[in-house]
Formats: sequence, structure tokens, C-alpha cells
Amino acid sequence: MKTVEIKDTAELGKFATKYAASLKGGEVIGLVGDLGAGKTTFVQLLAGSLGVKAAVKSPTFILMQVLETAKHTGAHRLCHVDAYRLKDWDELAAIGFEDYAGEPNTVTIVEWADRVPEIHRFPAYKELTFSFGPGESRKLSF
Amino acid sequence: MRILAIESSCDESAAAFLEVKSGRISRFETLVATQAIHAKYGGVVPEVAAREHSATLPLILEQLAERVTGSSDGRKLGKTVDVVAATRGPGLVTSLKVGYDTAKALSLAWGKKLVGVNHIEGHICSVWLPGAPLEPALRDAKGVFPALVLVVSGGHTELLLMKGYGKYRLLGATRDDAAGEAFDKAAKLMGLGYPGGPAISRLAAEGSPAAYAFPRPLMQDPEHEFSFSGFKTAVRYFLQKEKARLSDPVFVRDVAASVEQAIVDVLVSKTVRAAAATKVRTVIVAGGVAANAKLRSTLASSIAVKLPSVRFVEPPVKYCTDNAAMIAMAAYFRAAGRKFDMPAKSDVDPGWELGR
Repeated sequence: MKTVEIKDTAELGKFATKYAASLKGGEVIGLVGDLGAGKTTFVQLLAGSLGVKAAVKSPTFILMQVLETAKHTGAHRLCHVDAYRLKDWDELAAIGFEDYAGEPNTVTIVEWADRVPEIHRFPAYKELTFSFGPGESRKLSF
Repeated sequence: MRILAIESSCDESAAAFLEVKSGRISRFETLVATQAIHAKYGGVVPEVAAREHSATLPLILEQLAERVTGSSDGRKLGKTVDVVAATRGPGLVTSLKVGYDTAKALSLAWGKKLVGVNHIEGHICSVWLPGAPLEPALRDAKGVFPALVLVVSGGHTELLLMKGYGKYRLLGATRDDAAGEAFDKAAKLMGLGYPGGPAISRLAAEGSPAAYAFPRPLMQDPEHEFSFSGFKTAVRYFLQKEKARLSDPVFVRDVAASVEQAIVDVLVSKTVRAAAATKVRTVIVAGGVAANAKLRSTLASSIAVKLPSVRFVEPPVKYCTDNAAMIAMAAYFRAAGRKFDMPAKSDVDPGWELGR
């Protein structure tokens, strides 16, 4: 596992740009980290790099939103999920998660992925863990 | 005009019947899943009900038919209504589909007009429901418009300029977390349950709102956007330092009151500034967080002092949370403007933004 130190939002933006460039579609990305650790901010920056034009907001309440990415990237859709309010995998499946997750034209990103451990069974699953460092900094492990 | 409306955009499934005669509501029935399920099974509705819509909706419709026509035979209800309406967006795609597809099917089967409603427009239209201050008159609406609307809930925080029924311009929205989410997540950090908004308000009533100075993000910004993500992080850092004091009830009440004051300050000052800039006649507040007593009273007093010629309008508290009555009301205005949808061509729009 690799760990990087992120000083501020600008550095997180650079990381998100590089991360976005590595995505081809079909990936299922789990984000793990406490309230305020930067999960939604990371998704906003990643979406920007993928050319998403719509406003990316926290989907805690709405649970899942599907966003169109720019045509020049491999994936056509970014599926943004928040498992914060979900009790278990069944609830995630019930909202139609498997219609999007793992689809070759879709990058799926799930906040609070540790609430749904069954997500590890996706072959293209990757995880990013956010933790608090000194001051305003964050540590990112992947 | 008689309308059957269905709401299923997120957690709540609901249905309502509304009859409007010459600008007055003459008949009105509304049911949410919680009531329907409780009446039938005495059961508890799960926190995340998105998966439950297809199970609960037939139950709700059956009970509504009984209330409206005295018979659970849906054909009688079908003969009674002129318009079938349902929320078409924004919301969770799977939840929206259950309600909207049901409405499409009923519209086709009964040969009645279909209206797809924007969920946010529904919240706004709750100020025309029975018990609310406005009447749904189509002609003499000039005294109301233009109106500035603050829609504030768990999933939305938006300022809209409303120039007439169905005429909206989005002035600004949250860039990240909604105000209702800021309440919920602050509550979570304080160790209170979900949903946290009502829990914070209860504690705040006995606390000191000036005890702790939490940030007021974008409050002085002349644009009309909001941001509550940094606010959540600030509460987190503060509580990390003061962790030991969370067992002191006075401290918890003071933090709750200070959190509520910070969120309310941002909402109120941005709303008042936008109302002054757009020279509106009316300010409307709507959405789940519009049930918050502190937000209501602060908006009322602030508008009375700073914009004395502007009328402040708030919906009855019972119609602030998601319901189908508000969808029926919004559908009435759309249908009155002949804005119908074609069942075979129309589909849900989970990202539907009002006024953009």
C-alpha cells in the first residue's frame, strides 16, 4: 500500500487529475474516511478532471447520482454513491447499484465504502483511505 | 380540476388527491407511507426506504382511493381524476421510476392527462396548500410575484427567483453539502442520532447561540451560492479539541445552539441580500429545514426589519418534509398552463435542476 501526504485542496486536485488519467471505465472505487476527511471534495475534483459539467454535490441524502463525463475520456458516466445512510449491501443493491457498478463505460465511486464490505468482490475494485494528518493536511492510502 | 399525485423521489412514498375549483381548494386528501403502513401493519418504516416504494405505493393508492371514493376499487378513482401526476426529478433514479412509471401506467389505463413534477417546485408550492397563507388563484397572483424562494432540505439548498407559476431562475445553490446535511453531520459528530436536525434544534432551544463562533461560509459573498462542507470540518476540529466536554449537557446544548445559529445566519443573510437585490414582493421558504423554528423566526424578523415592504411566506410545518400534497399543488399549476407530458415519451430526470 502507498501513502501520500496531501497539504491542501490544491494538492488534492493534482492527485485527482493524475488519478483520473489512470481510469479507463469499469472501475469501482471505494472511499474510506471519517466525516470531513475530504471524500466528497475528492469526487468533485475527480469529476472535474473527467469533464463532468454538472454540479457534483454530496449524495448523502439522495444516495446515488449518475453524471455524464466528457466524450474524450474512456468512461461516459461517473456513478457517485454515498453509503453513509445505508445499513448493508442489500440496501445498496436495492437502489440499483449493480446497474452501474463495473459497467465498462462507467466509473463508479462509493463514499463510506467500509459500510458495504461486499463491494470488494468487484474485480476492478480499488480503495482510497483518507485520514487526518497534522494541521489541515490529510493522508491518502491506496 | 381533480389531481392524483405520487411522490417517491427519495425515502418517502406518498400519494395525494387535490381538487381545485375556481382558485380554491375544495377537496384534499394526503397520505404518506408511514401512515399507510402503520394503519395496516402497525409496522416501522425503515430509515432508507428507497427500496420500499414498489411495496408501499399500491398500499397507499388503495387507501387513498378508499378515502376519496369510499371504495378501494381503483377504477372509481380513475373516473374521478382529471390529471395523474408524479415527481419526475430530481432524486434517486430507482425511486423516481417506481412513482413515475406508476403514474404513466395509470394515465394510459384511465385515459387521463399526465404531469411530471419537479420535486423542488413541489416544495415551493407547499405554500399554496390548505393551512398555508396563499390561495392558488391563477389570475390575481400579481401581488405575490416576483418572489424569492429559499429551498432548504437534507439534499438541497437553493435560492430561486420565481416570476410566476412555473417561471423560475436559479440564483445559486450549494456547491457541496446541503444545509440539512450540515445539521445531520454536526449532530453525528456530537454523538446524536439520525436525522440530526430535529435533535440539534431541541438541544439548541436551551443553549446559548453565541457560546462558540463557528464559521459562516460564503455569508458575505455577493454571489448566491452556499457551501457547508468546510463548516462540517470546522465543527469536527472543534469537537476533537473539546472531546472531554461532550459529557457535559450544558456544553452540548451550547454547541447545538451555536451550530444552529451559524447555519441559520448564513441562510437568512443570503436570502435577505438576494431578496433586496432582486426587488421581490415576497420571500418564500420551503423544504425540510423550513420546519426549523429558529430559521422561520429569524427570517421573519430579519425581513420585517430590513425589507419591511416584503411579505414573508412559510408553509405549514407538516408539509415541509417530503409529501405528495405539494406535488399535487405543483401539478395543478402546470396543468392549468397546459404543460402535460406524453406517457410514451416521457421519463424520469434524476438530475432535473429547476430554473437553470
